[in-house]
Amino acid sequence: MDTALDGTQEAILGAVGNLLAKHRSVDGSVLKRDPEYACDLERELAEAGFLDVVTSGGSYLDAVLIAELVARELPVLPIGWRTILWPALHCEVWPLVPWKAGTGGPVRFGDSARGVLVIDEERDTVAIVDIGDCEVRSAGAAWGYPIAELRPRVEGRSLAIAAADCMALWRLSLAAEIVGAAGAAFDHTVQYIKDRKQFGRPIGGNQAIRHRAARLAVEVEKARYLTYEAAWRAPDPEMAAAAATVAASMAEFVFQEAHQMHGAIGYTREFPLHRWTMRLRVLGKELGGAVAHGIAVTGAHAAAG
Amino acid sequence: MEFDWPEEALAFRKEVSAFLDHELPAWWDIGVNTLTAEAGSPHHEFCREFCAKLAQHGYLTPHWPAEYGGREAGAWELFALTEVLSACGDPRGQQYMNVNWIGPAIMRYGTPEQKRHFLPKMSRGEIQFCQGFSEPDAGSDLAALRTTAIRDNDEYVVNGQKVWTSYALTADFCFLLVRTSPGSRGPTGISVLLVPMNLPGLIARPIPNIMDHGFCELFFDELRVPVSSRLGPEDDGWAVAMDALTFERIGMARFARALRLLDELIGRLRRSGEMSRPGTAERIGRAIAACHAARAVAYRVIDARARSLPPGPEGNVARLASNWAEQFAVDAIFELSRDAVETGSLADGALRSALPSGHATGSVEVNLGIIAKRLLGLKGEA
Repeated sequence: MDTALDGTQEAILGAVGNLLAKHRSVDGSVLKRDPEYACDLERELAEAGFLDVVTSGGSYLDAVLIAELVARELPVLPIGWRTILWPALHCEVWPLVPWKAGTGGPVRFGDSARGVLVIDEERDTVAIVDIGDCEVRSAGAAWGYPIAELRPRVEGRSLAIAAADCMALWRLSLAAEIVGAAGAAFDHTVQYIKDRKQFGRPIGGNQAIRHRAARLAVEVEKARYLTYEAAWRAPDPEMAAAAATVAASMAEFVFQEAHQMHGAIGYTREFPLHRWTMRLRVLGKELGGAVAHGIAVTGAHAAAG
Repeated sequence: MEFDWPEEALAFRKEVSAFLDHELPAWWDIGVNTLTAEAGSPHHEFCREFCAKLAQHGYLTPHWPAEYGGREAGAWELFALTEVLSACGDPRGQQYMNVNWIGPAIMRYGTPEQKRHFLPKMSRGEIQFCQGFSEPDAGSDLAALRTTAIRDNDEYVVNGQKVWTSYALTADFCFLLVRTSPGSRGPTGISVLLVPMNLPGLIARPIPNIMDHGFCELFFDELRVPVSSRLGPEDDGWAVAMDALTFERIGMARFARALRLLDELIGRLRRSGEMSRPGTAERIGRAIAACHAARAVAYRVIDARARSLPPGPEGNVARLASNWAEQFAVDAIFELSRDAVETGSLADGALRSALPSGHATGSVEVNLGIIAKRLLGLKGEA
């Protein structure tokens, strides 16, 4: 047991950080209304081997650490799916959007995908449907990700992976991205309450704010370390669902508290906070949000006895 | 970073679990938290005997050095032990604090005679302490304590009052914080005394409470104890007490007990066909997730201890996570149990015994203040 990064993990994160810094754009602080998929960044991360650590001697924990760091930078890239879910599928199609059979509603990256990964838990089947065999309806990008509604028209090609494993890896990737984006939003908020002065002193000196910030810190830390542990035990379904549950509720909490502590500046487009918070709501409700993840925890827990 | 439990801790967990499955009597009810069991209740009497049995098998003080009756088991083994014992309602009862921090404090600050007198008996589970800390006007601000111990040749004469003293009626000794420097204020001028509970001049009275917990208040009226009962330096006992409290970094594994209670609830709801009621699986699942998260942040604390690093604000994070997970779980259990308001039901015991968690180890607000200052670097009022 070691809760600190080891040398290899530090080196990987350092290198990924350098790559991200290289791609940081001048207008990157603003959420774009017509975001473009970050093809160049994805290619460079892939060429350096960072997107496939799971299949090249690394662990799911390494992949989660990378996804968390990339999610802090908020490139338009489904980093969690790519580093955590996709390697387990052993398929060629990418970008690939996971889609839970029987659910409706718009999904992230629906109109950037080449294929849809249809996961049917009841029948325990996993299949790939080419995007040409899907109805696709774009649903805008107001919340930081390109969103579209998908409707597969065919059953697709089946994959040799258990539906439960796919769901666990999906939930884990979701938790990792939430921890990254929420961690960045929280760090930004802590800095803001140190800098912002009212009544002649930083607002972070007021007990009302200090205690709320400390509560946020506890929730962020809980989600972070549970996600790390779930990664180490991946694809354990209970741990992954628990990580997603804690992360999704934390995402809501960070959204509300970060905006409240920032005041009106927080919802201007010139100020960077919204880049993280808007996305947190998309991530927080993916797969049905904390309610659905919580039900999955009970299901997996009861099944494990 | 990796999350594999050390082999010896896994083996130890298995061993102690098997022992408890075998040794805990059928009437043992995990819904009753022994820490809040009434003095004289069967649970309470049982704990004392059971501690001796735990000691015989090396499960009471495995983390102590060999010379005091332990085998220097590592931090992960101790954590496994804490989790397993907490999960079944802690059959050590009040003894958990003796072995976790009072004993280690005597090891560090005690005279050779004090060590000889206390440690072997504690390690055999034969004596129990209560802690004389809080006073009517010294709660979260503990350093405002006013109970005095005035030197009279080779004796101290103690006068004053303590309150919220758990287990005082059944304890043999009190780990007592007193002011030895007359007129001093704050953390200076305080000393620690190890006081027998059976002396004239010391009266313990129970405080009836809604948890039915063994709360007491202590009155000291010209109580005389020898100077040799002082632990550590005179007037510098604050450092002794604060240091002692760091030996126990996460306290009880409240999340482990909450998980066990949730399992019990799931079993009952399944048998009664109520698991499919709207909201049930969701609420239970969120509580289970909170317990797992509390364990995950506790790993950081145990890891720091295993590496002999000084305790940091991660301990405060872990405490709050554990307290809140327990609260979340017992609220769910209370809400989802049909018989919740029946005296002695699972939910009744669970909710009432979880009540003091927000104050017992430093109030939530004190912990939040420490996190704000030490983890987030926010300057200002606590």
